[in-house]
Amino acid sequence: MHSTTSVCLDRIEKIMKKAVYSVLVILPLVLILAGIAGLLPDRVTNTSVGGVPLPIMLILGLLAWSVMLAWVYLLYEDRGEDR
Amino acid sequence: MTIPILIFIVIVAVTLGITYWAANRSSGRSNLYTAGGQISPLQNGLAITGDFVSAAAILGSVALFFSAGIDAAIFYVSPLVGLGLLLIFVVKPLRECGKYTVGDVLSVKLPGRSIRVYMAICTIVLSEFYMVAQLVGAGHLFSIVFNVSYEIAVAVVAILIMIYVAFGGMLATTWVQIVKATLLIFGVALLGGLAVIKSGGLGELLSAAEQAYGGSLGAFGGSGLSLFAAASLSVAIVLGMMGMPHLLIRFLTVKNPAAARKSVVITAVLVALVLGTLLLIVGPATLAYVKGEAAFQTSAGGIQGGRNMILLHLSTALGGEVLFGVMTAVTFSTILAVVAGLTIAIASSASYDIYATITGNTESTDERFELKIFRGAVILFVAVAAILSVALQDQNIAYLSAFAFGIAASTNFPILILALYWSRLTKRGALAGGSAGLLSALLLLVVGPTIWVELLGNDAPLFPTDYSTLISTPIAFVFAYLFSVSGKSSAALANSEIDN
Repeated sequence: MHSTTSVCLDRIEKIMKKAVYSVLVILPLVLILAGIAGLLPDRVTNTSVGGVPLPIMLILGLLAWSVMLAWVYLLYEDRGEDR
Repeated sequence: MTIPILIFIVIVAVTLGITYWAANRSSGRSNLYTAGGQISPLQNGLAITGDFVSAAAILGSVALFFSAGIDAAIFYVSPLVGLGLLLIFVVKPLRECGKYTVGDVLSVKLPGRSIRVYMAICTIVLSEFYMVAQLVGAGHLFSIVFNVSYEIAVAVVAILIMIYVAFGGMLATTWVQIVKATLLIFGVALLGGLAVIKSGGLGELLSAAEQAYGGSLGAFGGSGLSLFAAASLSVAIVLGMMGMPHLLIRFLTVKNPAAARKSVVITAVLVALVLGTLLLIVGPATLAYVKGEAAFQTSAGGIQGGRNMILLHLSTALGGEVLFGVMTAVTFSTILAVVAGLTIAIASSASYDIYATITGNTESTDERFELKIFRGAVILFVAVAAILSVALQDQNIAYLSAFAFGIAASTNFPILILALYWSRLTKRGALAGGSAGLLSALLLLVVGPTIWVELLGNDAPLFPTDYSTLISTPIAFVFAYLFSVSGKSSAALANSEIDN
């Protein structure tokens, strides 16, 4: 019984991990599609920071976000295998 | 034109040298198909970067930024989303089950010949389609630089590809891709650096670009895509990458799943650097230095050589003939490397998944005849792609490429992901799902704006956009589900699930 519960919990953890990472990975695309759908306020699309349009800065940040997520996932997976 | 020709010849000589070196090390099935699994994560990361950032991706996305502004971000962000999802869902089980081809993965989950042969046919069809798109680009580029006819240009490119793959196999293909990816990263960095220096700073460059564009660079909506079309295009790129065989077999060239995961992260870093530079600097630089310049315009007001040439015009504007030569050679090597990777995927599917499976020789140590089939398949399928690329020479490259990704997202991706994660998938369900995805993608393409209106001359399209993946992929999943649960053999999976 104890072992069955442990297997179930392990499985739930794996599913949750994949679900959370998937949502975080897809976020950048959601922002771009929101922009194309006209859902971003003009305040955002017309603002520049140091000459760089804010949406371009946001997209660059999202590219960095994707890389960071991949890196974190790698560390997490490798640590899991070490255990 | 002498400098570009010299640079071209150097690139071709280097890649042929790599092929000669690799040919002495590519004797058996394992070496020819997957480089013996001895590619390091860094080398594989560079090679996958080369596959991701294809000529269509660079030339097409820069051209889209030129005309549609920040809407082009779909092409910059989607590859990284695809990489993230590949890392989470596909890489580890693929490396654990796969030996030489994507068909290996399915045969572990769905034993038997039919599904493996079916997957091989899907792989051949969609890779051939993508290869035609790349060859069209290569033919135009080669004919411009060498001033020869398009047909001769395609023939020369096809012969080069045949030599790389038939003699050097995966090892040569991987090293050609590594050389190309390194050149590409160097070329994009050089273009970006020169653009910023010439403008006197990044702020000045963006300001000049905004002036030429005639509006805010941060304003979305320039492409005219509806939300459905944009979402469908994004999904095609993201899921298509997860079903593209020439990308997937790269994970079989490293020694274990951990190395495969590392190569994905290295790819993510490199792809983000290249795409970030294209978005922040190179895209705006095309507006600042190419838009409105008489030297790059036709008498009718269009771009000389078509919109796909915009990046190369920027090279001329920033560095004259030398930089034009460098960037043209980089673009050409990009196409060669991607087509070589596609040819490996096609030929190994033909020789291993079809020939060896049908004759029952997948585990045989006598590989001589199978390798002859591999080399024969290389010649046959590259020749067919060359003939098709002559017939389709006036078609839009980005359109042909997007279509190949849409097919991959509607056929290979659903079957692969269900085989990996759903224990009740049956052969019947996989065949029905893949076929339904393929047919719906083809049907919706035919009744979309490009074929139904532009080619067939009808007044209005029956389906409003050319991008139908949001519909065709779910259809594939639904059919796979229905035919699996309704079949009598739903317990057919002996190896029901991989623990991920």
